[in-house]
Amino acid sequence: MTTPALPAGGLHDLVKPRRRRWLPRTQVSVALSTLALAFVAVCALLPGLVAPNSTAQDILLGVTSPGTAGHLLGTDNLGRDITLLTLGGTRSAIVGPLVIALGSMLFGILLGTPAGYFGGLTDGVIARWSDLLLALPATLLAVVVAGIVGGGYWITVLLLIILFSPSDIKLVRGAVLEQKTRPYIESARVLRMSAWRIMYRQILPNVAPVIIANFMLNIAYAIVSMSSLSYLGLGVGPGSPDWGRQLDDGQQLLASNPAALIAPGVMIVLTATAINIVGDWLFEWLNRRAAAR
Amino acid sequence: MNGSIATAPGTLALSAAGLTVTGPAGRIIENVSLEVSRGETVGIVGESGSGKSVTARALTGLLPAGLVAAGTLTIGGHQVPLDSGKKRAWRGIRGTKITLLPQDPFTSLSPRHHCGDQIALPLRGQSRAQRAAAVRAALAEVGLPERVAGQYPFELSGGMRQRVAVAAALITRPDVLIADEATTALDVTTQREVLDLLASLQRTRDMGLILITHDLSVARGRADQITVLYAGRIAEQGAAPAVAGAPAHPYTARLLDCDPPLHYTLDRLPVIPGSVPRLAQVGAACTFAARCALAADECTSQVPALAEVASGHRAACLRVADLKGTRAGRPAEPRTRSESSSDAAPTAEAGRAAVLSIRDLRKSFGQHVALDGVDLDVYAGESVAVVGESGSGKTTLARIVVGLESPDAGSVAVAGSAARAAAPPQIVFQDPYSALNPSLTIGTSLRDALRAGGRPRTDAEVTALLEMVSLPATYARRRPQALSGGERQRVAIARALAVRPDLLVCDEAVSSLDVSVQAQVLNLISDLRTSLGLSVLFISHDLAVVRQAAQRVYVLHQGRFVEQGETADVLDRPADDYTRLLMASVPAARD
Repeated sequence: MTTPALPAGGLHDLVKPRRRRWLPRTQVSVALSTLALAFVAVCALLPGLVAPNSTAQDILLGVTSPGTAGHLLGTDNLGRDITLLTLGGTRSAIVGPLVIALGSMLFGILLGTPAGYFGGLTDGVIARWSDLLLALPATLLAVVVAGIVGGGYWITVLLLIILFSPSDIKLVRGAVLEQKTRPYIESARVLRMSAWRIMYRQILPNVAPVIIANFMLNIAYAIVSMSSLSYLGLGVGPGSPDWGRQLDDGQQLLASNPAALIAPGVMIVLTATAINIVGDWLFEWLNRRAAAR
Repeated sequence: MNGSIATAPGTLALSAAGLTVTGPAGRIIENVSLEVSRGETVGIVGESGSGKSVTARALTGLLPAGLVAAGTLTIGGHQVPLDSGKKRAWRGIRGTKITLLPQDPFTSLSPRHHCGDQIALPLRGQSRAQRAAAVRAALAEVGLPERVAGQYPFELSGGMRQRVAVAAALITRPDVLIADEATTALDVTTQREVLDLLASLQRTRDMGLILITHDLSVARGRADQITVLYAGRIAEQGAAPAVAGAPAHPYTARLLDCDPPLHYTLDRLPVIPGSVPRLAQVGAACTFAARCALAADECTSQVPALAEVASGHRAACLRVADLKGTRAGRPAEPRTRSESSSDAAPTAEAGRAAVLSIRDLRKSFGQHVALDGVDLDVYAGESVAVVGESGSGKTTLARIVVGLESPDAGSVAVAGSAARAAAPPQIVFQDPYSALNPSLTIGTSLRDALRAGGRPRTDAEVTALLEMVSLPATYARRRPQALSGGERQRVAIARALAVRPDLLVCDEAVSSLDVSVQAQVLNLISDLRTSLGLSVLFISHDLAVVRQAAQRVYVLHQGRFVEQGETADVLDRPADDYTRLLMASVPAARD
């Protein structure tokens, strides 16, 4: 992005460019998505409140179809209520992705900023490291790691942080590169501010909107990735409620209770979509606020 | 459409009456009327916020969405709807009867297309050979070699690009060409060439030319008629010699005063206090009343009508009758010509310490030699200018002095004037809109600068810095977006002063400011030089600014100093051909 060559106070001051938008102006979608996310957050933080005894089994009952008395979506082959199981699975579906997005954002800021600001050797080393990570086949790596260290939820989270980080590093690096040549940053250099202060005080606030928006998108990606790995049996251990796990378990019940498969699938799609919509809106709002200030 | 009927010279090519454009925030221009005959040049002069760009867009039906125009517009005898949504009605008008030459030759051409294709773009339904012939003819007409047709814009210089843009604008042989600040981004010598080219094309084609500019001296030198816009209304309109020679509106008079003269030095540049208001906020009053030394009560209670002061010379000023013939709005302070040598700093002989001495400085970027062995000294309290055109190496020199680039060879010695260690030289850049960090308040920016200089980061210090550049202490809480260009440049100066430098480098620091604001900032720098004992290194292409701001001048051409000496000596008796060329290129050089 370059500064427009319009004279000071040109047309840009007078009219904001009209954006063609796909979503309605009133942003009903954003409101609904926020509500959905709030519900998901409650499920994740207080599973006991929404879904007590989510893993309670009633083996005698066995698998039942939706509409069974007391079981809105029926039960699985262990007699676990699908509604409670799905709500109870929210925590593992959300917490891991949140940690992944946070972790890869941290990597992005800590490695991407110096890569963009210093360039040269620093950039070379960090860029090659990112390229190396990007070249790894994620799923295969997860299977291999699980085979060696035995898998598990937090191992998967750690692995995904490392796999997610190169795109964050590249994103932050690009944004910093663009900021670096701005006169106010050059002025800071001329004032002999330390590189650390220039990077994290002068540059970072200006690239924050991109980072925050990308953080939101990463949560959505991570939900899908975590669920995929759980589906492959690499995420949460057997027995614990988790959407990806449920998808795996539910496959066998496709004929007897399709809800066991559909409910977690719908939750994954809805949550990921809601996060995307809110993330988009947040990015626009942050940018608009930056422009208005 | 009626191309076969030759229009007699002098016939009306464009006429706009009562042009009013309204945006979401209210009116932007109001009641602008304009007539352009074939073969005539009409200058529209105004500062930023005057509405001159909106006028240009309204005249070409290119108003951005959200702006609504009213009034009547007749182009080549056809009444045209002002509504830019009516694309069909503009067909056969825009691009054939009227074309717009955009400001910036660096962004107006597509980087991915050959220049020939871009010139031929408006030619539809012609064979390849016909188009190629038309492009050849167009290139010859603007004085470019044929090979340019096969080149990309980035292979050309700024002046050549603007010639390509001229060729593209004129290939359809329009009746009227609107040049919106078309030469502002160019060097002074190139600017003259392009203006000469436009003038000669206009003569040979008997075309109407609307020259939109912020520079009254360009309009005075080139236009037959001048319309002065201020805050969206016409302030004054008439023949160029009348408007520029005997202005009837106080604003025009003050604008002329603010323009720094080239041939003598003023003790202090006249300024217009305040800044241009928004038309929507003025209401039923004269838009200039708030800044006018002659404003009376009636000026703030009614909109002055455009009234004839002489034959064909109109001004929108209620006090015009009182001021007629006296050169309205003469500044209160007399324009004292200072003896340029009397206040010149004593040079090395006087034994003053050098705050900056550069010896045999060399810098290349790949094959391009930016600086080719440069020696330069700046003494304590002195103000020195380096003049040159783009590509002369002047910006590279500035960046090396402040440490943003490192030289290939040679030495740059910075010495403190006092006993304390030298603070690093500071720099003020050209563009006020990217000078300040948009995510920090003014106060935070200044506190960060104070910390960098190892000084206390107190509110008192911030206030003192703001006071130094004549800004109220309340500005510390504002963000850059709430400040005008001139105010931002003041804050940039304050930030630079936070580390108490001995040398301030001003890299075209006033060249993107309006004339009246430019004078304010130049005066401020001059005051700071006196009160703080600051040395200033001006990097500029503007000889008039250099004349006012610098005691000594170095003329930089292709990485070498071709001439140096006392400003008055160099500018009055240039010894080098290049300096002479620069002096001759200054538009309508003032006496």
